[in-house]
Amino acid sequence: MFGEGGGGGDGGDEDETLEGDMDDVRRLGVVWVRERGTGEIMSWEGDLIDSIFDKLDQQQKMVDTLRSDPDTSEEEHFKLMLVMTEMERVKYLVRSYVRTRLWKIEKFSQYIVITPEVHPSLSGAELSHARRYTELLHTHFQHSVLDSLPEWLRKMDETSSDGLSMIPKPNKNIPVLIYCRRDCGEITLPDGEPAALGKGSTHLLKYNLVEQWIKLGWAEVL
Amino acid sequence: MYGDLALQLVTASHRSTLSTTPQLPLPKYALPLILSICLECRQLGTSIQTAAEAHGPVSLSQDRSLVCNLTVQHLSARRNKRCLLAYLQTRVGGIKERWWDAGGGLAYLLTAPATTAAGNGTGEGTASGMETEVPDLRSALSPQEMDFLKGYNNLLLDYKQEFLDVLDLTAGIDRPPGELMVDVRVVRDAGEVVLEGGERVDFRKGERFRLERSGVERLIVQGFLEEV
Repeated sequence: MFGEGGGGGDGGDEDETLEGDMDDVRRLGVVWVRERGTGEIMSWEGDLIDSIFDKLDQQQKMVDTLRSDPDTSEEEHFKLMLVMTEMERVKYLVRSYVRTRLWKIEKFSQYIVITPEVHPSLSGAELSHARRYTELLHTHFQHSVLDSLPEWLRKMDETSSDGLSMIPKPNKNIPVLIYCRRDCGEITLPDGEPAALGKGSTHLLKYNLVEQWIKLGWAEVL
Repeated sequence: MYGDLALQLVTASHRSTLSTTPQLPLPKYALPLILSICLECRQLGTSIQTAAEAHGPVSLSQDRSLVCNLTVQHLSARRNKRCLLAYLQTRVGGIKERWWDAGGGLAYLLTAPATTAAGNGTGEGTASGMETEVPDLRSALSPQEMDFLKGYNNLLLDYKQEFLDVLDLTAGIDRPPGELMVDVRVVRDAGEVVLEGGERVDFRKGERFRLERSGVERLIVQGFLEEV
């Protein structure tokens, strides 16, 4: 269930940096990978996205000014092109991040709507999207088949006799690959064996075992 | 046997999702099959009700064969419902996938010939040849699915509104952007298009351009332009 790989236990100063100290783009990268690497919906990084959008906006204005300035040299034009490429790449990250979240939200929309505990992790727009999507999907099901079934078969939130619910939930048992930025102490594996999450080590573990470290940013999802 | 039709439905639906590259056109909505399954469910419902009423509550706890009979019918009905919903859900997934593939262009999605919508970049000649064989998306959808697609389109339009001044959420995310500029050839007439920065370009079939990728991404996705 877990594989331990030596990530170089020495861990220079760089490993100490937690998310808060990174620059925005680096942080976006980490946040994006974390969102893609886990089954559950992580907290919406609204401040980060706002700050990145502000910077993109400023950058765009600067690029526009420099490009229209006839005094800009050939070399500077080349540099501008690099800046613009970088901007496109950042936009790609944001787009992929937002769409990964949308995908998860649509998949678990009904669960999200009926579980108030997860609401703080979503932005306002995402929450309203989840609500409206659930409604849309249910209307579709209702009009397509449910309305022509006997009344006792029309519900959308049944739990069948084998305990399987009609409402899909995020699976917290799926494995995640993590890299420990800090010493995360010791955890107990399901079979009772202890495992040490030392600084600088990488592990493949069930998500629910390391959920708290991931959310704190002490462990980075790879 | 109860449930045979439902099994037929899910097997067909599963088969249609097996191939994603190249993406197969969405099969036509299996209305007759669905209607028969719904009918079967209603018949099971009535049968359960009459059987239970005829025997009364006393015998229900004693007559084991009756209990068994009712359980089987009940489970069959539940199973039918599950199969129906699974079928619809799979199609909803397919519809959404196509919506994203088309870059969120609803009108384009519905008018384009199915072969282009299915994402294989065949030339114009083969596309029109195939058109007669495969149904386009509009005719493959049930009216309810059409409503769903329109509703979904509206939902996403609302959602991406708040990002729109900075980026277009529906642009492709298959590959991270590598180059800023892209060489394109016009495959279909797109007329005059105003690009980012107010530049006007008249796209006529056969012409070549070198443009900023972000500006023409949508036209590439929708099959007007082709990367060279």
